[in-house]
Amino acid sequence: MSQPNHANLAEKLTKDTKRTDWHNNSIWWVRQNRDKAVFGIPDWENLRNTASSIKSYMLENLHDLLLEFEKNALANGVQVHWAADAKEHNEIVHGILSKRAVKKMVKSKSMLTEECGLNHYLEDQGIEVIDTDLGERIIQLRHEPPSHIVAPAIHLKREDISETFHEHLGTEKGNIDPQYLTEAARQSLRKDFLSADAALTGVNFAIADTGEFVVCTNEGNADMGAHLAPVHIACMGLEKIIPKREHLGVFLRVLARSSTGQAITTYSSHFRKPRPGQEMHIVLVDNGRSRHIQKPKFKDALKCIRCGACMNTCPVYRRSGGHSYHVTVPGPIGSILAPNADLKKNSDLPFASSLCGACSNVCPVKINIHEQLYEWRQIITQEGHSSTGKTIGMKAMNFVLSNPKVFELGGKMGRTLMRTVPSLVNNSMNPWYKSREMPEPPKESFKDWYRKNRNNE
Amino acid sequence: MSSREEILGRLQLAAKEQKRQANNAMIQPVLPEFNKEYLGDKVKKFMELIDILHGQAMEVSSLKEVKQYIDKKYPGQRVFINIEDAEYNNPEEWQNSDPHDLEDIEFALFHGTLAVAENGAIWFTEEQMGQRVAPYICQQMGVLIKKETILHTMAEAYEILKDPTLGFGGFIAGPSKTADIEQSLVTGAHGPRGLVVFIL
Repeated sequence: MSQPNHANLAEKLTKDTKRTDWHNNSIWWVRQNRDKAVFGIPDWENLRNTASSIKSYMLENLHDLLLEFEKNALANGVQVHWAADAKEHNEIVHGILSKRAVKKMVKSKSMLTEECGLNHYLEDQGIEVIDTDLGERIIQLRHEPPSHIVAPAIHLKREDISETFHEHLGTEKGNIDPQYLTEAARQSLRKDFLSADAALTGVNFAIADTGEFVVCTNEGNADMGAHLAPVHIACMGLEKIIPKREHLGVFLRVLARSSTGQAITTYSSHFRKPRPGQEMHIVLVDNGRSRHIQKPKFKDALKCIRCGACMNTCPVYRRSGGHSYHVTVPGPIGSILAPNADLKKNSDLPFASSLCGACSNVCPVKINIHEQLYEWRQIITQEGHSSTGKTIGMKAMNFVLSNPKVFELGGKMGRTLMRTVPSLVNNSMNPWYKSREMPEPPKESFKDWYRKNRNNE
Repeated sequence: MSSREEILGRLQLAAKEQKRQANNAMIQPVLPEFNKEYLGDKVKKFMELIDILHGQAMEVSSLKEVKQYIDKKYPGQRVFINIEDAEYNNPEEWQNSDPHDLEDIEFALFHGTLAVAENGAIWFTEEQMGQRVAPYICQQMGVLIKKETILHTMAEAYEILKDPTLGFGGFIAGPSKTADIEQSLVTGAHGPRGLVVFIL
């Protein structure tokens, strides 16, 4: 296969066993923090059920809720735009910026603009885009995509970041102190906040009833950008709508706990009207969502609030890294979202899972992630997009398992070969041999053993 | 057809199909009662949370005490005070200046509407901020909270906040922070490096 696939891309990380362990452990640490935060409140399951049912209501009533939101936002003096796809989204943003002759825009974290490839688009039009979330700034300077939706630079070690900052921000070579490096980014980005002509933010929640939108950060970068710049653009996927403001009392309780194990993010900002003299825009982006919602088995994936809990718990994500998923949103949720956008190109992703179900168990809005992964596998195989190796393997297995004679003979041959020519299986051609020892072949099959022993109890 | 009509058209189709499959339309979920007993004493819990969030909480008996704290800690530095008791506020008309001019505020003090014990978050309206950017751009932040405005949970907070009248408001829980470099927590990412809460 010439197109990138998860297993091949994962090798970049997995070939370095120490780094794989480090990656696995640092992400597992986030999962443990999540557990502590969650076990601290007796209402957790009650909150998950409520959050999930509000999102189900949203999916059933999205048409009406969007109209209600639009009406209220317009009444608040906010300009509302609708984008059918990534291209239109980028053009709308560029249109707003060029009207005001914007040269420099600061941006807080938005997975949606990442999905639309906004940065490159604007840079090609001569607009400087500065990512202001520390993790995003780091990867922007390194020209890398994010590897995690909450912690975009989680794949990097402090040595890597120190090197990047030395090159771009002039920090001391070899100084790897996170405090020092963060301070350097603060100083540099403060200049950008003060000189930007526009600010773009994502949206965590948009409230139909009040026409406002809520942006959550820990760093305060969304607020620094939005409250200083003369233009504020907020971009959101259609599914970010919730009916009422009081529903935030549920979502803000589950979001940060699921995400980093904090009780709440440092900043939860509710933008309703532009400040005097400021322009405020909301771009509502479809980009496949209104088609996705028509698939009964898969529409629940649109309930996602982008907390990242499913990634942190996933044994495959933790050991393969975000970049191996070759899409903006990696991990289990990304693997059920991506096939909606392009089934063929992303046909490898639903297979990058052990189907253990840990993702569904931690999801704060109770998306049946592992069941959807399994459903996608059926569709991918039916439509002939599964990998050739897997198809041949499955067919061979089907043949062997449905013919007892063949099964018995195969077992005997396998045991003999493993004993006499172990190099036949103990080599790098065998994917099962990678980073593990093959087991000792048993002397006989269970069937043979049972035949001998069934009478002498 | 515009994208707006196209998108809404598809969503309407999806809604019709869903209603056809389900026998009756879904009603908007009603929020259940949430447990608050587990939090115990709300003032004590709130103070504990501020500590966990790398802030500092102290009980004070008068505004004079707060003023003394500020005068002692930030002598000769640019300090903004925007609280209900106007006699303590700055004579400077910074509330109407260009927000960029607030770049060098060392310390700023605000009144919070209410505070939440379960997570240490404090709600501010833009009126209380003086300028929207003020609590985010200052180097150090101070908050005045009346003891009786401390609540147990977010549900109680939104019971009070459910109908906004102003253009902007937000929860702030602790000083600005980041853990984007190898998960090491650093305070003072972009906003305040420290937060002190005076409980009156």
